[in-house]
Amino acid sequence: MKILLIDFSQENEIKILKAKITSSITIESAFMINYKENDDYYKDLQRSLEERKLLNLPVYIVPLRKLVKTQVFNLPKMPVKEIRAILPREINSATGTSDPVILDFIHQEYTEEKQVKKIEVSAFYITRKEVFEFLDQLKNHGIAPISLIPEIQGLTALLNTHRKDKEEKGGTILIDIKDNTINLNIFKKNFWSLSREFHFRYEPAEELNEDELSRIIVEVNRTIQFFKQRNRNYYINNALLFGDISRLTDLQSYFRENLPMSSDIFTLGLQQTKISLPQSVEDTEEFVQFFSVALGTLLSIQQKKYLNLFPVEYREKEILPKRIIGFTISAIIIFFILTVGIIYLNGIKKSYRRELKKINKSYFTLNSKAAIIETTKNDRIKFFKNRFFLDFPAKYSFSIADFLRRLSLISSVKIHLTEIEITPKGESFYFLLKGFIMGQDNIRAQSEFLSFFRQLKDFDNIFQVNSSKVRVNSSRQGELKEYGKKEDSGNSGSNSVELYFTISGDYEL
Amino acid sequence: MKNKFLIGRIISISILIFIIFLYFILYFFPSLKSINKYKREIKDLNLRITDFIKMETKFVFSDNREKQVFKDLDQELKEIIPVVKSREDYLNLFMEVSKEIKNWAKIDNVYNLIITSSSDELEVSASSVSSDKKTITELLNFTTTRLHQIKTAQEINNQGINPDPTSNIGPTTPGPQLKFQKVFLTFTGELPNSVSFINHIPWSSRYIRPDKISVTEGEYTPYFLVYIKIYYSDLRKGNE
Repeated sequence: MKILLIDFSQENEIKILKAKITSSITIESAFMINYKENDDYYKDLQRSLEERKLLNLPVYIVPLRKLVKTQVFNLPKMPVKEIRAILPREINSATGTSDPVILDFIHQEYTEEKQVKKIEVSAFYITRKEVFEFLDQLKNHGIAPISLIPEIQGLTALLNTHRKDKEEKGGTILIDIKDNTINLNIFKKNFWSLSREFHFRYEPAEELNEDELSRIIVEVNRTIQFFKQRNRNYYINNALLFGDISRLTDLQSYFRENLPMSSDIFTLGLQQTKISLPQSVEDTEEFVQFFSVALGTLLSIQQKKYLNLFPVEYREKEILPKRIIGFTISAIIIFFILTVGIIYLNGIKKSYRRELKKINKSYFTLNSKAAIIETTKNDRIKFFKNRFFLDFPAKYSFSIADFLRRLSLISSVKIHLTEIEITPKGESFYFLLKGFIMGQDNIRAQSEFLSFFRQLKDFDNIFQVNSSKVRVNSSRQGELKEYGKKEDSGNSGSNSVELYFTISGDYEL
Repeated sequence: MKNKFLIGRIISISILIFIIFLYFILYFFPSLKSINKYKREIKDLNLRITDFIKMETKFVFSDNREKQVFKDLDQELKEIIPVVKSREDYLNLFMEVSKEIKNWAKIDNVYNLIITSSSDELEVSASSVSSDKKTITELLNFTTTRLHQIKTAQEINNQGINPDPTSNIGPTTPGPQLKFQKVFLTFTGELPNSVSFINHIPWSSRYIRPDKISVTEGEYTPYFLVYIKIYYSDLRKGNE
């Protein structure tokens, strides 16, 4: 990932690093812009970035030291989420203002003091107004940062690299010497606790005089005393100097003599931190001292663990116009689709309505003939009804005569029909035959009946025939009679089985 | 802040969904409904039109020959159904029909014939065409028994338990009140002769309509019972 880091932390200096961050950090280019108080340094910065074609990279910003305020709170034990929720209120009450702030914080582990669990929280914040103004300035000059990382983050990272393999107990005072300003940062182990800045008289190419050195020592001691007042039983055992390389050696020896702690000049293990510098850098030590905060910040970015004062709402505010445009476009598309749907459906409805109107017209034309058709239809129905009425007697009598004749033809000697009943039924008549069969045994009587029934069923005009109540009785004595035959002496008295039956059905006229 | 934007997003999406929902509820589905309604109406009308076209092809209008056929049939109906204006006409009708039936009974060699009516208006009258007294007595007994059975059955029918299936068959020509006289013919004879006799009953000289017919096993020959209705237009006073 290639990024652009712009370090505004030092007044009158803007340090810019283009770096490639992977498992190592490769500084591809580094440059600095010096400006005076009334200069339009944003313009210079924009021009420089445009010239180097760096504006398309994701931009990380270290804001001006003065812009970022700090506040340390001792809070009772509570979840981190809750700390974040109460901090704006706490800051406002500590500063006595009601300005909304953009903040981030770090916290130490819980400590128990007089059986009460406490947590020390260091909050870093910028007022909303200031940060928006700052971001607007950047935006106006084509710079759209994605993170605002306070200087403390870079210093913490530097301290972490320096403290490795060293005693972790006790605090460290970081003394950043730049031009005529000394910035002091006191850390409890790796946890930032206090910052202070003061100026000293500086004339280039001149050595610091005794008075000025004494004043510096007094200021440093005063800061340490202030720290000790707030953090009883805590001592600072190390002073770490960095910044203006030309002053560092002198000041180191002076501090060693006058401060009750070890004084070291900060050195960054480039191999250890896997930072590679541009080939154009001739004096590595000077480069490291000069870009120390920026390098420390890069280390934090690499670890993806850093304080960020970039306001989410600013990003949302930035995105809002795009969102509105996107929403409008999608709304237009949806309304367009719905409108097309309405037009399409209306078109279909219209075409159906037109067709319906057309068909209705032809239907009404035809419908006018309906009365005549209906009359003719009724006349014809009446005619067929009357015709049937007139023809019925002859048809019926002929069919009955025919049925009786055919019945006599299929009735064998053994079949005795005792009763035939015929009832007219529309265009057919219903018949009911009752009788019995004399047989030598049940099987013969049954087969005789079946033969008769089958023949009856085969009559062309019969369309429904049923047999029921078939039962077999023991033989009875006496003579039997059959229609159309006077007497059959051959069977009389010798049969042993009588099979009584009833057959009904419909006969078509 | 993130929540604020999330809520905003949710609200805008909800509004969008609500608009689409409204579109579907208020416009899309009603439109589909009306389109389907139009389709059904068009289909229905097309079917009606097809029916009309079919009817038009089947029914020829202003066909004078057809009208003449209808008129002829009406005339035939009028002629075949005698008009009864008095009790005398009524008795004459019954006598004439009885006479004709008896003649045919003789011709067809039916052994015995009894003509009976169960009507209150027409008293039971028996008529024999044979001198065989033994047979006629048996036939009379048979007739009495059967008439009793029929009367019972009619009473049941009148209660609507078993309506006569042919009762709704009749001429549709409006005019004099159409009535009929129920008459029973009971006779015995050889089957071929009896069948011929049934066929020779003068069905078409007047409108005589056969109804129930039953054939029952007799001592020598089967007994026939033919139930007929003699139709007439009753123009007597109080019947119009």
